[in-house]
Amino acid sequence: MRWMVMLVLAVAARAADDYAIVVYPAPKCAAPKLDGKLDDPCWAEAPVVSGFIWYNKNEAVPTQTSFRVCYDDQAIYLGIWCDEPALDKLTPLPLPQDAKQIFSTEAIEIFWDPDHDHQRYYQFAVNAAGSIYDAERWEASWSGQATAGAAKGQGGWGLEIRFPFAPLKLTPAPGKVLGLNLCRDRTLLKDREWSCWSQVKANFHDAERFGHVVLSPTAEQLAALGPELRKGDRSGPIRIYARGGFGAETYIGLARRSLARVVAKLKTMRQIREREAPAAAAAFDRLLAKAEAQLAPVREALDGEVDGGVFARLELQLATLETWLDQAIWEARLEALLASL
Amino acid sequence: MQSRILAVLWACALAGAAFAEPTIDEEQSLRMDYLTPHTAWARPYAQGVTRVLFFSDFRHSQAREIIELMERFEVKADAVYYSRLGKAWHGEQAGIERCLKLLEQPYDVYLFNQLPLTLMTAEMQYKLLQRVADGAGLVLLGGKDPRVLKKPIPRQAGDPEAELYAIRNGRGALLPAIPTIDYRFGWETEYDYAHERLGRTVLWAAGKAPKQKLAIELPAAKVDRAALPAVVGTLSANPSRVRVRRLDGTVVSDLSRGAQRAVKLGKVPAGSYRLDAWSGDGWATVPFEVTAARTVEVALKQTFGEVGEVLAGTVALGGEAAAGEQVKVELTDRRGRVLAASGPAAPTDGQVVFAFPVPAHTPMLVRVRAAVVDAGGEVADGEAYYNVVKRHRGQFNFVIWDIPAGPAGPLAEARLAELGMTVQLRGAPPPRVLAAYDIAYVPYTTRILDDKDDQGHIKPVPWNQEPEIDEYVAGIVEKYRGAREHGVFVYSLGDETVTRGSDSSPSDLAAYQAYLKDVYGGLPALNQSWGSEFTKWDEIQLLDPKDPRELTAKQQGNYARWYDRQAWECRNFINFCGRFVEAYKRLDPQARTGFEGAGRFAVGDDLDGIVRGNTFWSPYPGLADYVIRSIAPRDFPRGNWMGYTKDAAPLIDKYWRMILNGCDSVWYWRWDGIGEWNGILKPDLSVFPQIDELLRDTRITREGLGDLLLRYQQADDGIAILYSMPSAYAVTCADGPGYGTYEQAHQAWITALENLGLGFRYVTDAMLRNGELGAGTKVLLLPRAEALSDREAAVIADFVKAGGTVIADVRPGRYDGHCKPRVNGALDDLFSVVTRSKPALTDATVKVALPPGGPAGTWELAAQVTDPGVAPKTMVPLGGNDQAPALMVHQLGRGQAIYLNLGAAQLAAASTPAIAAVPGANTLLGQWLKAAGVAPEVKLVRPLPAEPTVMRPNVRVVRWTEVPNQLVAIQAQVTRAGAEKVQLKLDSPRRVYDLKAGRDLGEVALIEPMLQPGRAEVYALLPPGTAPKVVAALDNPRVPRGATPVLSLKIDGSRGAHAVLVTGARPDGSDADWLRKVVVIDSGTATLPVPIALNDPAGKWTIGVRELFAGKVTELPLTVIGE
Repeated sequence: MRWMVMLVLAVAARAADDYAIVVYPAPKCAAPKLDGKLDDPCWAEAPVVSGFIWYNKNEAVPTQTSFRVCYDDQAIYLGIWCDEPALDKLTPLPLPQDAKQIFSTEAIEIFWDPDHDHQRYYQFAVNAAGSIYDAERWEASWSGQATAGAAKGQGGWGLEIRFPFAPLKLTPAPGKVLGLNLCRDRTLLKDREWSCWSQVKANFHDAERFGHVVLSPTAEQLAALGPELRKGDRSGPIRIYARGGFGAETYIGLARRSLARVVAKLKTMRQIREREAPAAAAAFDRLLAKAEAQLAPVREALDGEVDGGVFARLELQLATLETWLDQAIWEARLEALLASL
Repeated sequence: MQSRILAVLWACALAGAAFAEPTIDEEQSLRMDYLTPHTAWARPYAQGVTRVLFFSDFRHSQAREIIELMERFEVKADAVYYSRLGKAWHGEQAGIERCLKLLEQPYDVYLFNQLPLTLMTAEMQYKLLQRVADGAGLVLLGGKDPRVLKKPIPRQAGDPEAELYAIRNGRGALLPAIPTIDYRFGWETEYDYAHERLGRTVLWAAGKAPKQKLAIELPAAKVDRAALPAVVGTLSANPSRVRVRRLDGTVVSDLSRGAQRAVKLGKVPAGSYRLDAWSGDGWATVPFEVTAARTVEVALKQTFGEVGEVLAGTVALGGEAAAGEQVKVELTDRRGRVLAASGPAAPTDGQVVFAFPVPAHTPMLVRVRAAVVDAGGEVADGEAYYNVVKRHRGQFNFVIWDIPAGPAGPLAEARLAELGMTVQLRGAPPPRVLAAYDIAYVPYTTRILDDKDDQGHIKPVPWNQEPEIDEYVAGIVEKYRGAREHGVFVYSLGDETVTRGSDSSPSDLAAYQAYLKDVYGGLPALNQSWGSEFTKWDEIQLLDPKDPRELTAKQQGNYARWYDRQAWECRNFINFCGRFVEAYKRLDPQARTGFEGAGRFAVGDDLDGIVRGNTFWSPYPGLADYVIRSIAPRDFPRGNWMGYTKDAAPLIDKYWRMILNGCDSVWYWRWDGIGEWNGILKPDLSVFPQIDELLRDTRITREGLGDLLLRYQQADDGIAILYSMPSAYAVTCADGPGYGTYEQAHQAWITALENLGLGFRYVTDAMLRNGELGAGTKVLLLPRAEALSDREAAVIADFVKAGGTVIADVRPGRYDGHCKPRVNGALDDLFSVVTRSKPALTDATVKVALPPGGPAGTWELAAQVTDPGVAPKTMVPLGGNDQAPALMVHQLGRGQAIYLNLGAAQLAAASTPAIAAVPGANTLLGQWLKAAGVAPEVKLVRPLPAEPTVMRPNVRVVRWTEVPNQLVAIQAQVTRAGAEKVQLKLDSPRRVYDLKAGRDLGEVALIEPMLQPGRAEVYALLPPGTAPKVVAALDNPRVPRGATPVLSLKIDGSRGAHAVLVTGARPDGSDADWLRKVVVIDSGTATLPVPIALNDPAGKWTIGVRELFAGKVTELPLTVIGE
């Protein structure tokens, strides 16, 4: 477990979109038990990836998803964890195979492009009950023979899925590149949320913009993948969730760096407050207090254990707070203006 | 995420074409090029221009309100749009930044149309409210903001009827939202007053209220008609203009010169009125009522009827009778034209009955207005509305998704009708406004899906569970009685539906068993096919109840059992549609029923069954379009949805593609919308530039060509292509996928034919079995026809023996008609080959010696997929490699059977147009077809590109015939490539007309169009020596009002069907839009009634007749005599 974060290989600015090209090196492993608990030894060897973004919008969703990938000689496995603050509302709904109703339940959509040709790809949807829909592109008569296990846990639910290679017409080999995207259909609340790992353009069936899995690559193989990853005129930065990346101490370091950035912004706000009219100053004080209150749990979390998943959540909280502070200055001014009218 | 995704995918496919798209600035720009009926209350205005920043949702015509304000007041505005649907300012962050930039400029007033300020970011609100606090105005329409509107100001004389507030140095006002008025003729009058109030409020908020405080004092809010003439109002100042207007729009008095402060009103009928007056820079308006002792009610015998029926009813008078009273009845259209009238007649027992014929030229909505009259004129009136049911069949239609809502909805509806819309689609009974603009309807009545319950049964009712399923269908159908009474083009069973379905319910199983019995006849045949041992039909169950699709059978290699289930699922869906088809026929005997945006060639849908089992079908664009235009009756409505993009070129491409594919209607999603795609209209109801371009480029289709094509037959050059439903499944079995997909193979052959300029048609496996191959077929193409029944194989063999040519690619007839593998191929004898099962051979080089009669040489194809399991029996193959033959030609009687042993992808590559000078599949195909007696009458010649390795876009040539004339369209696919000059060589000189240019090209044998990507050029080819000339005459060129002279139309100098566009102009030159009509003159003389209303202006009218081919206009004078 404890691996990840991005290694930027190249940044080029030439094409219509600058969506990040995400790459996941998948380790070979022993098959996990498909019970949705994610406690198998194999997952400890696989990088954890989070940072799901809104469908068609490059902003992180507040309710995050993380996953890991590994494979053996027969199949490739996904271990997925879905944060769910409204877990009490979640009643997993078992469905028959290929029921399209699955898209109206709490589900993860998985897209595999086994040849990375952006043409022949497969869609799977697995919901919180472990029910499965699968299709070759749109054709649901195809069967991927996947099996899955799901379980509710602390603050979320987990999924473990096995995708046998044969139906995918895939022969595993070190360095093999597959297209992969994970998309989450979060339907519990009144407003549905669609999020995904790799940013897509029009809809989830956007094979050119899937992310990538590379099977047990060597450093040399990864380094040589540039042209393959840029197929389809893709020009965004390449992010590799590198195996053998950073340790927990480094996560803490990175999160503290983000925290320092927010603290610096608060300092700037205090300076602005001094220049504002007295009416606005009170509003500024309230906002500053609110910001400090939001920082408290982050500080507390940094005293504990920080893995990739925790880091991703902290990073998101800090980024959200930073964005809010940019708005807060105007909120303070507005509050003062409204009071004066 | 499933819904509408196919549509969006289409948009993605188009995303490659780079053309200028409207920016968020342009989308939010305001244009006043569409003016609607209005009163210029204060335009021009002595106090000059008021600058307004307008905030509104852009949907439901809400954004139009600012243009309506600008029409009536001296207002200059910018707009910022918000989407409640998307919960964001238009353009999201870029939109917010645009708004912040606008807020840097000073505006006199910030006007919010039903949007709370709190939707803005804090920065936006702060900057806006700071402006207001410093002296600008803030007007909120529908929605108070107590944070800002805190200090009320008492209203003074002349102040607007609004809640008024002080906001530090600025002013705030709160008004109710502009009301949505139920559509009726004259609705605009009430709307006009809502805007009067808004304009007055905006000027007040800007600190520009009129200096002249004009007031009107009414002696009474209600005036008894018996007391008239009388003074009904007194003005506080001398007026420059006084107007009295009834709320149905009738202006009873409008005086500029001689207007008095005491406003005297003569006898007018009872009703609601407004007294409007202007003085200096001010104006005033007050409502009042005129009452009468008599009331009038109109009761129709039936509120709708078909053309040819009778509109009948009764006028009932209430209250106290007037001396010598009589009753008159009028039928009027939305323009206020009196189409017919009866009376005045004395009532009997307070009643008058009436009846009017309903001729074909009656508009879809007429108002039946009855008035009781006495010596002083009309006393009181009443009205009712009558729908003339029109379905717009047998004509070209422009169908648009959804109906504009909101206060300005009818204005948007009028705009869409003006742009050529003839049909609208929505999911509820149609509102009255559609009929007012002669728009037929497509009710979106349901959406067929196969969602299942926890028992695995289709919800809400399994499709074969009787009687519940019939009750379910009847319940849906009954909801659309209102639509039937309006006029339904087609009844839609939904879009993006499933096209197959089954479940494990007992009723489904029983129906499945019955289907198998029908297909196989007896159990022995089924057992032989499936390898089973059933002794009774009801023993047949699913292999796995959780697997209604019997995928298990396929995994076990029992392809016949698997295919039969797939075929049943398709049939089951069609049967379910059939229940609706019959139910809608019971509601509306002329009903046509089907579905849209679903049904695909690629997945092996039962295309033949869909056409036979439904009475309309509009799939998304694809190869299914070719099948529909080949096998469906010509009056079977069909089209594709388009839209989904902001570029002109792909829009134009998609529109023309439908025309070339034989669609009789173009379906546009949708009338409104900005963002990732654009609708037809901008939020301000002006037209997007790209839509303007689309409509200009395709105008001829709505002005004659579309209707004319319904009379022409698309030329097929004697070529038929087989759509074999079981083959679409067979190619997915065993090692079939290695040769490419079924659709790829068909697309490859179609591309090759289109690049040769050849026409073709599809036949289906069912048509082969039914003996419907069609006389005149010279060549039958069999792309991936891997599954053929014995009967189909025999028909194909007979065809060749009779002199036909069959061309197949890999593995024809390897399976039977149920996808059961055959020991020997069904067509082995025909091709004189032996076949056996072997894995596909990939990455081989294949050489083919080009046959004599064309360019000499060898066609060498690297990296091919071939089938090594086929070998010639006797003949020497014309090419191949050491493991597999590539080409075998077997002469059989007068015909020949050609076996091209290559996979689809290779064919596609080999038929790619204009790649170098290498003879490829096109060359071979051209030679074979020539030998089969197929030669293009119009030969397409394309110069080699400067870089001969550069791929050129596909070019299609499509011809339609109607002896002795032809229509030819040529279209290049949309690519990044620019214009390309091509040649069309005719086999002999013809009289040629360029329809888009409206030019006579003379008698020529060569046409040289400059093709712009996506845009079709269309030519009419007539025999030499012919030149169509319209001979038009009116049976009576001098008529009284209310007459209907008949225009007779004849084409001299040419035979065959021709189209003309008839127009009319009133004496003042304005367009008489109800006369605008396309007429197809099939043969002899066509006639068209020219209805003149009882209150149309007298004088010299002009009737114009524009002939489609030459574009020449003939004008006829028509004199309308007044009283």
